[in-house]
Amino acid sequence: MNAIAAVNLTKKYGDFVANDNINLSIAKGEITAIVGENGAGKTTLMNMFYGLQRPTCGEIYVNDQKVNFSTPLDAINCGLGMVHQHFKLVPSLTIFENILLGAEINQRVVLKGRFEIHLPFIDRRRERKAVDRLIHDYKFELDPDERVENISIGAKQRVEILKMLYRNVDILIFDEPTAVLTPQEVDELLVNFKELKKQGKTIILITHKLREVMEVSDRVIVIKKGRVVGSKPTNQTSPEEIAAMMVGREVMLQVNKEKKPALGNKVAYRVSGLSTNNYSGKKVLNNISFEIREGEILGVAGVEGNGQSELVKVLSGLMVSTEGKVQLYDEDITNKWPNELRKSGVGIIPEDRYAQGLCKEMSLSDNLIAGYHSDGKFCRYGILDKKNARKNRDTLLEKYDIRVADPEGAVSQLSGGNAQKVIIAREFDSDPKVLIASQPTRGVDIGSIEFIHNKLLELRRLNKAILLVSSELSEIMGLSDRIIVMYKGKIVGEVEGDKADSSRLGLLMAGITK
Amino acid sequence: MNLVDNILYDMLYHSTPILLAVLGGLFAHKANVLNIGLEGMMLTGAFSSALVVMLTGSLWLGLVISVLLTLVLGLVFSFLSVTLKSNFIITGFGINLFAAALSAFVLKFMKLANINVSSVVDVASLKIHIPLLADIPILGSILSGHTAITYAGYILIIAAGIVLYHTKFGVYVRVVGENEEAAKSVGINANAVKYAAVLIGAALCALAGMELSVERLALFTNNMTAGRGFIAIAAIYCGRGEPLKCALYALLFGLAKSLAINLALFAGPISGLFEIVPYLTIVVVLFMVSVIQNRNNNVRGFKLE
Repeated sequence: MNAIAAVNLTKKYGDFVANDNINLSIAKGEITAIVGENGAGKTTLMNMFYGLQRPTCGEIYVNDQKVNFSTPLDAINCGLGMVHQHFKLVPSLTIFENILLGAEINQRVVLKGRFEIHLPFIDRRRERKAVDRLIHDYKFELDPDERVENISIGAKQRVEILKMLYRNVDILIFDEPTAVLTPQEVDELLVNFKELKKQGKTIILITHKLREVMEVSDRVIVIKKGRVVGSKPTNQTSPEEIAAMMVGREVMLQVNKEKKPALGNKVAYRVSGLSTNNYSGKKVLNNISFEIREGEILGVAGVEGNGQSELVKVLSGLMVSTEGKVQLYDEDITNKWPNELRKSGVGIIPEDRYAQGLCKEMSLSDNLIAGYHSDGKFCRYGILDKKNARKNRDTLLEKYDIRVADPEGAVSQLSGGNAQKVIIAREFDSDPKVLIASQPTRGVDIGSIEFIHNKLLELRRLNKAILLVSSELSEIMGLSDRIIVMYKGKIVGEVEGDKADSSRLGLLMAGITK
Repeated sequence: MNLVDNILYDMLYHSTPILLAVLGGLFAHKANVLNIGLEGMMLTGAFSSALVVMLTGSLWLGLVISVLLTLVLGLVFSFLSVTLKSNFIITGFGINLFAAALSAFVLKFMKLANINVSSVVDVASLKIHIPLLADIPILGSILSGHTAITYAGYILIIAAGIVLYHTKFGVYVRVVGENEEAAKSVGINANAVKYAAVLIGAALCALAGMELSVERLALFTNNMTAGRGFIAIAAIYCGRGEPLKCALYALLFGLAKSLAINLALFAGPISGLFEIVPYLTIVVVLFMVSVIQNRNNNVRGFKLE
């Protein structure tokens, strides 16, 4: 019996076909992995299953019944639940309030044992008890009274799962569930998956991480450019084969890095005692000190939300530090503004490319000089030299292999990978002394990841200092000469790049220093 | 009654319309809808209630029709800004301009300088003297002798707190404001919640308007709300949408107005200058609240949440 089946399912956005005639079936009681690159159409497909989007044409069957969901609520009522990549939780409410959101239990008064009156007020005591039972039944570790804003990411995910289980769903869709977890939390989650499977639930796992696919799934379905390009039982395939199906050619799953001791090199970038507070006065950076030598890549690992974003913001001039000092060679660059930093030779690849790195609605040539636009090359007496900017654009498009349909058009036409390459081109071409790269490959296709990694290594060969902040542990481990791990705004440990393994880093990421 | 008694009595008296607009506006605020149209809704309430009372002689009819009319205004605002996702500021501003223009036009059309309903409404008889309470010295003279809507306003502070924190609707309003995606993912109709939040505000603004024109003065004049809707927005912002805190700010602004009026009596030729005290207070209070709220801000040039 099939839990879910799709027949000729198609979703179009204007001319763009996100899902093209998808036919697939997901067996009941199994764990099915759906893999594919970013932008392959996995999420669109799941959104249609879950009633968040309506198919352009085609049919969906749940438990062999044809369905036509118009809202997620229809899907939930049909026994289909989804745990989103970005949690849909309300930070200021407690765990049990979040779990019962939309299904609150109201107070009742029973008069003389017969007449029952429903009051409009929420019955917190009974809600709490129901959640307590649920946590116990599924062997999760959670305190229902804790506010969601205070719990770890792994715990938030368990809350999301319980939210679905409370609604009695028996098909669970997980969208990139391990993207933000520590390796240990990933292991815990995989255990939870197996427990859920034992209790008869069907699990659909959307991911691009092949380790989890191999470890936990019964069947793997590969999607590429909106089409199903492969479907195999997991034990009859290999990570290499899946990766090749995803990309359409052989790919290097490992980065090749020529080792070169940087120990004797000059210190290019030095941070000492850096601290800052967030909006509510909490110390988000606590006495951060490190140095990067010429020709060295320093990796910053950590579970998201442990101060890495703030560190990058302070180092790139978007946030002010309260204490501490930043030095570029002998120059003090503490709390300088971004334009001053760029003038001093700091290249910046920001965390969120559309919020801080690019202006979507502006042209490619403008974006490619952004931040360097007051440079004498592009600006004379306060007037921009557009001709020169266009020349610069043509050189960079060529040099960095940026694929665009219309070179005169805006950045918004570009795919994630090509948009990121625009930033890479701009920052690398300015010949920085030090590069601060935050999440340089987030949401980028495998081909572009390879390209960006090679560019970073090229910069390392040119004896530049690089700070690499990333939530992809494999990226950090593959590229860095040294790795520092952040936990709750502090550096809790440092590991040599070639001695790093994910279990050691994982412990540090969880704040366990032994 | 001595001066202090007067000031305190007037504080409650002048706070009422602001308080009602605050209680109405904070639901929208919590649902992440910036209802800048409070002023226009209040003016519509003041105008339509006075007009209906003048035409029909019935206070109740005035109440019902003014509430209905402001609800229509609230619907227009929600439809434009929630359903069609237009800009809150421009839509709200449009509502304000429309309300002011409509009332002025109707007055012109009816060849009236203002709407005087003192022949129908006896303002003194609308003041409720609460037995027992009125007999307490000092306190009695401050707390007793207000209008029905005034008392309703103060009771509504508690009601708003209960609705916001102890009922499904209140939880939904807060959730929609905090994380709309979370609300949608469990099947809460976010737009419906926003509509409801705006409509509650509209209805309470109608009460505020009626209190201002019919109940207090038995008179409607053009633009008589004089920025009270905006003062309410300031109070909501300062109190971060929490009913009790916002109400305290409403009282603070009421106190400023009361001080201005009572002290102006002693100011002789410059008494007109005291009119600016309430507005000056708002600028100062907003400035101080912003400084306090931003004292930990280390982020440059980015919008904070």
